[in-house]
Amino acid sequence: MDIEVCSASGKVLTKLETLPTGTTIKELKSRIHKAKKGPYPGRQMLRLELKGKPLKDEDTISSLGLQSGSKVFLKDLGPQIGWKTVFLAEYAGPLAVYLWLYARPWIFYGEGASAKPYANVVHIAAACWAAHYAKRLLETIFVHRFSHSTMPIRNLFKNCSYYWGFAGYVAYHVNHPLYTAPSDIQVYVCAALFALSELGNLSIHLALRDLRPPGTSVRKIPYPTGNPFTQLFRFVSCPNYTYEFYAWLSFTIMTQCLPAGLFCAAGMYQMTMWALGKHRNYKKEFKSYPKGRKSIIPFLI
Amino acid sequence: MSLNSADWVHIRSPFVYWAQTEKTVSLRVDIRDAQNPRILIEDSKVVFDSTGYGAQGENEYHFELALPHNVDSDKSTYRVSDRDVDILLIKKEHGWWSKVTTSVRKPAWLKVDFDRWKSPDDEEEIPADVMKDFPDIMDRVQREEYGYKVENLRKVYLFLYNLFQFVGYLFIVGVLSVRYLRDGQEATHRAFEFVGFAMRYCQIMQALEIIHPLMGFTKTSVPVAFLQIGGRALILFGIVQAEERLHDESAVFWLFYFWSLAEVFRYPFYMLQIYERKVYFVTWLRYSAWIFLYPLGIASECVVIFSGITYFVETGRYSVSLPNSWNFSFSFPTIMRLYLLFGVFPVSYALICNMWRSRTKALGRSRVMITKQK
Repeated sequence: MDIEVCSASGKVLTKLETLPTGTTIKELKSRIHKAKKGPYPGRQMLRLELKGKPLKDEDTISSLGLQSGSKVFLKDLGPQIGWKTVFLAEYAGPLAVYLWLYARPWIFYGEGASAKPYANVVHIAAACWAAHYAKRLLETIFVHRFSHSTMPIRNLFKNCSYYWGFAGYVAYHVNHPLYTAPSDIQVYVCAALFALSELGNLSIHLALRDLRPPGTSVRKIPYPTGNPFTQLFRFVSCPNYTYEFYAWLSFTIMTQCLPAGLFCAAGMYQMTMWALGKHRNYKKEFKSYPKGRKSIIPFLI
Repeated sequence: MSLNSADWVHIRSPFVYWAQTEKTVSLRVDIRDAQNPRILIEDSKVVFDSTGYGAQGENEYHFELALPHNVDSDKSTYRVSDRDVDILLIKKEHGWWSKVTTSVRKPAWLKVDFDRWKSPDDEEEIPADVMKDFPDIMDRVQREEYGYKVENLRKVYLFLYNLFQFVGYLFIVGVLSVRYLRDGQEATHRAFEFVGFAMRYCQIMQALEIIHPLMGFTKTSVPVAFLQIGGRALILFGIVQAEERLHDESAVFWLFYFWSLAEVFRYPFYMLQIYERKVYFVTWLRYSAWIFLYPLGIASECVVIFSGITYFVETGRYSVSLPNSWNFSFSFPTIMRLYLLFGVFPVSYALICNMWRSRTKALGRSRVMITKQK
């Protein structure tokens, strides 16, 4: 059959002719690109209505009920960048920035700052921070399965500013020669809590990974597994965010540093927004979704 | 039923309140506990007779209304309740009636039902449509009824607010201009002394311009108003007022001057807008003076902030330094520097784009182009 491809203003860009009924949206996009009527497929969004829902790559023209002469509308999503690329940039930055400030460079602290004494907690904090972001990098490469392959490139700048900016802000204060360390007991208890939270977060990521078969973007209700850390699934929809929050809270109390608290609060705000959305989607998608669960903090929200 | 002159002596008419929508006319007869009401509705006449408690106590009441246009006597109805008798006339032809009786002089017992005029019974259509079609009618009717127009309290308040600010900023521009013309460069060191109080007073009053859109009194965007007014307040109170050594800087004189001059062009436009009047020259000034004044104002702000940096480094005001138990630090001079380096351009760009867009919308494409060609 023949499909008409129109722009957002309704103008006909091209007509794709003699398409077999099993043609996928993915193939349509690559045809459009080959005909030089659109950008590369990752940048295209096709819809059946001008402001309708985007069509999935896996759908076929027959499954969508398209007839010969049907119209699809093309939208240019702007320059795209891979999700994995963005994540790697986001996480490598804080690692580098923090370790650089850990060395107390003269440009921020003046000459001779690195010779001044370091409290124990400053070393522990650097280790915690580095471990957190190293773990994130490894998870991005080996664990996570992403639903989307790309995002608009402006997100790269927005996200990196956030992560790198806060890394600098926290690192500057914790590594400062005039940093005041809290009591030892506070440091060691919170360091332990940090470690446990990181393990919890990793456990959830692994459980979620096993929930989804490789190469698909299937969605299922997550439940506790053999790993005790996953018991948190009984209380919240997004325990990975919960553990993340606990980790940064522990870090803040361990270092007794207000900037770290602000970083924790900012992250918590964003994660709560995401968790509420995910929780809502779970409930909408699965009629049998467990009733007692909250989105991010057990019994609260 | 015909009446001879002798009968008129005994006729008592109740108060009848009338209102209308596009399709109906309602007559609310002010008679309580109406006994044995006889209501005759004909195509162009309504006759009412009943015993009951009305304007002249317990009595027999009667009125006759000769209608200027026809009504559907079959579809028209009435409802008797303890408080009144409600007659609903269905107009034969939809449309607005300028009067409800053919008699030249309006009978004393016939009144306008303002409550119904504004919000009718639920089953009727919204008279708001009618109000929009004939906005002058309400004024005229009110004037006929009461002898004056009932002013909209909200409009009066907004008008007075804008007038107050206009006078305030005009005063500032006036004082600064006169002083400059008289004393020249020397006057530029005494701006804070001459108009510092007025500037701060008007600036505080401007907080209302954030409240007004919040309460729905005006249509400005709340976050934009917040940023603009907040930004100015920060510079005026946070920087200029806080640091005495800035008070005699010439930059402060020019800052006050350009800020106030821009406001002088803004408020008269709003005053006219409240009463839906447009004077092209005022509109043009409001949407064109900023082209000249905003860059000068922004430049003055930058000079003031820059001059302030050294003083704020010295006094450490608003800054928190290490060491402290929360391991927190805040350097206000650093914020000032960062703003000058990275903030001024994006903020100014956004502001100017916003103003330009408003200008095109207000003045129309062709007018904007013509003035550009000039």
